[in-house]
Amino acid sequence: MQRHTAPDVTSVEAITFIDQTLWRVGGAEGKLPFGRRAAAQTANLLYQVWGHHIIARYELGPGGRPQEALRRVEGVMAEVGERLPEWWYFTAALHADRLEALGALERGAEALSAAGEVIERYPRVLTNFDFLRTLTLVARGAGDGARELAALAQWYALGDFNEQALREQTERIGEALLRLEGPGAALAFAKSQEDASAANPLRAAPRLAAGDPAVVQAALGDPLPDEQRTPQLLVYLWAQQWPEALAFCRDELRRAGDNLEWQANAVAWVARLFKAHDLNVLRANQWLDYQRSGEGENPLPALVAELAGEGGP
Amino acid sequence: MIGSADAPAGMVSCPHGARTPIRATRGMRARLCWALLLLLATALGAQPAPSFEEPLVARGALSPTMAARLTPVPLTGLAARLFAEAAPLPDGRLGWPMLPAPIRIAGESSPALVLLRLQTEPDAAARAALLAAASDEALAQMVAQAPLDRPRHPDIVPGDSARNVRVLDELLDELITRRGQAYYSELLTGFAARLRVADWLRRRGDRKCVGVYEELLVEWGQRPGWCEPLYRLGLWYSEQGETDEAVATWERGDEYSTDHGAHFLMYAMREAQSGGLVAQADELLAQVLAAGEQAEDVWLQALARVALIQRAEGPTATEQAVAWADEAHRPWRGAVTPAARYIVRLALAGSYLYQGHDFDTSIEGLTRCLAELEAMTPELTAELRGEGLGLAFEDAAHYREHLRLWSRGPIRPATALPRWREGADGDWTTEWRLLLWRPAALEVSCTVPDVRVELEALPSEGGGVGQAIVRLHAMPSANVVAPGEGHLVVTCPAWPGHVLDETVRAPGPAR
Repeated sequence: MQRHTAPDVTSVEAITFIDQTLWRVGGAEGKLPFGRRAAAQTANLLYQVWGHHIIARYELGPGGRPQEALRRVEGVMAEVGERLPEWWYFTAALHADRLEALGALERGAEALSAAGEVIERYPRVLTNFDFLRTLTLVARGAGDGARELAALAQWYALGDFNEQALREQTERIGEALLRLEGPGAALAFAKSQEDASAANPLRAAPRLAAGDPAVVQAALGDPLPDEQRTPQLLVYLWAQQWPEALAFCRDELRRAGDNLEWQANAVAWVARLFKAHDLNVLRANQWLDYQRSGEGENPLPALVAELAGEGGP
Repeated sequence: MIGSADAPAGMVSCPHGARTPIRATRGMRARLCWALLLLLATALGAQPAPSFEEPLVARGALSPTMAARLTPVPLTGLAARLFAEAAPLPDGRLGWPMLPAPIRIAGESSPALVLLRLQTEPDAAARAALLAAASDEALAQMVAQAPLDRPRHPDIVPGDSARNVRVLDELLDELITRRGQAYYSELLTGFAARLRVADWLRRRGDRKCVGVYEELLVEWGQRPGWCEPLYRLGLWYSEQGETDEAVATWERGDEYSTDHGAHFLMYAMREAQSGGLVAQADELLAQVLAAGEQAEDVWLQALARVALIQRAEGPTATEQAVAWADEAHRPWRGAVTPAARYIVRLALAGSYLYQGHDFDTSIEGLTRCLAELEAMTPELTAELRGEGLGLAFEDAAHYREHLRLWSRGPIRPATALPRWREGADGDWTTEWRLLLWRPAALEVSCTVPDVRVELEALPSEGGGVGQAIVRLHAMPSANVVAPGEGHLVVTCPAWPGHVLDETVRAPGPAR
């Protein structure tokens, strides 16, 4: 696909601003007409696609017409899909709409297969909490327990590092483990979130087979553009390439030079590495405490040793 | 924590240092240690590269943003929230020692767990079984905990608003409709539960919701934040078609919210507008704009501009829309780049081409926009002119071609007038296809003797372009001494002043 390195960024920002503004005022009477107007024009491609997305969201939600939503987003993709920038939020959102529509039409298996293609084409979707959540719901709807656990593990591993996200994830995982594997596994998971010595049953979940890591890596670009560095970290975590992820974090710290804010970003990346690797936040929290206060034990050497023991460099 | 009020700077040199908190002292030591290392490195002339082995705090004070970004997230209490039966043991621990022995966890004992299942379970029968197994008390707890929907707010991302409605409806249908609990049951006494009950009544079209909302408003009083009962009470009136009441309700925003009153005015304005109360809508919109400017509330100003745009139609509205998109994000994003200006202007050109119904205005606007685009082009740096704007340049070229085609007028022939064809009865016919700026009713006349003219409208082409066929039928009569010549004139009342005037010669051999 064509790469867009110097595109109409401000146009994107303007559309995002419209979107967020409308989200705040809300209202089918507010957003939908604007979306319809945007979808009806062709002068501004991004505005047009945003409009179709808004209508599709309505059809998937209050409208209750997933078939219409599917027809719409597939039509848009066929018509202008090739022209959509990889980095644009609504490109990913459009694909998420399609997966959700397939799921709602009881075509969950097809949706999960399609998810792999989306990740291969737009690796950035791995940074999207909502996209990853959609995969868990699609797997749930498809009645495929193994893939549901895999999708949940992926969501936990890659999702945002904040309390709201983690609470939602751990509760969903606890519920799924109880339903799929019984109370022992569910309680063990709950325990593993507070006690590092407890076995975490989620770590036994298979990696979600959706997307070929080599293809995804290639899609990021070589040499890696600056704007793909965060997606690159997520791709390493997604592919469970832990040594590569750690080396990448170190490289980010090196690039930060004297910029403390940038260094903090690299530190936050390592916390995400701990979370993705451990599927709990115990060592991640310890790491953050250490970096913020200088107190306590730095858990990184232990992780390095583990990775070496697992065959890493 | 280092640097906190518990460990003020200078604590180490304090004569009472031995009584300082251990954590603070240890932190100080660590910081001193790293400072000494840094000093040593500096003295040796080396520029220490940042390392993960050195804590970030040793390299400088963390800004509040950085500190927030690096805040640990303790995850505790999951088992207690979801698996209430498993916790706690008499000694205060959760029931871990039981593992891996079988443990019964009854769903109904943990409303949070059942709620999760109701949210994600795709099978309606399975959800009904979960509901049936839950006690009244558990159902009431779930009602209070279940996430609220966002009425009239379509989600941006795969969202839960519709799912939230379904879960709440299923819970309250079970508790009130099937089990006979009253909607004012003492099980449902909290603010959150009653708000959800009122919503349930509202969705069922039950006017009793008004009383519940009003009670909740009294309880709410006046405070900062978004007042949900007021919003939803207004929705009730709006959904019932009681526009005056809806407007009056949302005009009460200041009574219940110290900071969101003007946002409620927006809803009042929308309601007035959709209900045909134009003067009232104008007045409310002016109030919103004034409030937004006074409070320097970018969102509020943006909302008011959206409303202004939505009230208008046609190219003016679109011009406002793109201008707003261009301007509104300035407070956030800094200066507008040349690329943005180009694309915004391009969008405007497109609106003149595709959305304008007045031909002259459209052509004038399109001409002006294309000239401005041409003038902007030198501003665009080589980088901006690259692939990112390639599509925009293609669109601009496309518009220029349209302008060329339509510059002669809103009615244009698709081809030159075709030759006459002779029929078996000695008559002559020809057909001429015309393209119209927009589908429109035409008037046609022909001054050539013995030539009859017919007009047929065809389905429009893409892009709103209209089409028509002009059929000429000639039956040369004995009265005509010689084949004549005349004019075929096509006009349209929608486009006064624009005439398609074609010279037509009467048919005959070799014509």
